[in-house]
Amino acid sequence: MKIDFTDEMLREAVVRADIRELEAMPADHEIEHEFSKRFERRMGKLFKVW
Amino acid sequence: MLPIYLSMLDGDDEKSKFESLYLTYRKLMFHVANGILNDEGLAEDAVHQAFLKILENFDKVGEISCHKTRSYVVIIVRNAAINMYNRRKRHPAVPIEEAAFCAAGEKLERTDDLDSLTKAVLKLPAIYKDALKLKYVQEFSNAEIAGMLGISETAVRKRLERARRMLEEILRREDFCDED
Repeated sequence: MKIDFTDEMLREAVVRADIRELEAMPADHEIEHEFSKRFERRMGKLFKVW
Repeated sequence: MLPIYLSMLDGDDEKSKFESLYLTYRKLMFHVANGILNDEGLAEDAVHQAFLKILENFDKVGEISCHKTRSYVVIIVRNAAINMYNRRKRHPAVPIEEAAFCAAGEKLERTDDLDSLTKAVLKLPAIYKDALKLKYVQEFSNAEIAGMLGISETAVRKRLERARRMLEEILRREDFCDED
């Protein structure tokens, strides 16, 4: 196995690693969480200022 | 500070885009933050902080439902959560960003060099992996990365250099194991 790698190889490897990592993450419907009122209020304020 | 960020966004289109980003990714962002902080309240705080940071750099966000944007929001919320974790643990025995270094025990397979390098990238601690992703997936400059992560440009450069050295070390170690 080569220990040395070019910048282009590193770029390609990072892109591939990123895809693999994101694919391993759960889909939205698989994440069970009800955001708290406090969080909703803080985010609501953010949108209201707009 | 918030009105300053918001004043940087023009019109209903940008607001609608930000709302879309919020609805699309808030659960995933919570999942990532909670995985680090293991506290739902703190994880929500990290998500909130991450949205403020994203808003600060909203001009760099392209299409909402694409791999690049998904990757970007994950990096930003992970950085917010790691910073929060480190602030709460004054003297952690092993900093969380270092702890992940040995967590992935999967041995590199001798397939091809690029595959080995990809697997080595996956074994990097989060802060080094995310610096590489901001550089190579998002194609940001060191100055832009510094602004996003809240560190100096010098720290970004050192982080990228250290990431390379760690990758070489992982590949060397795997190579050594293969020879046993």
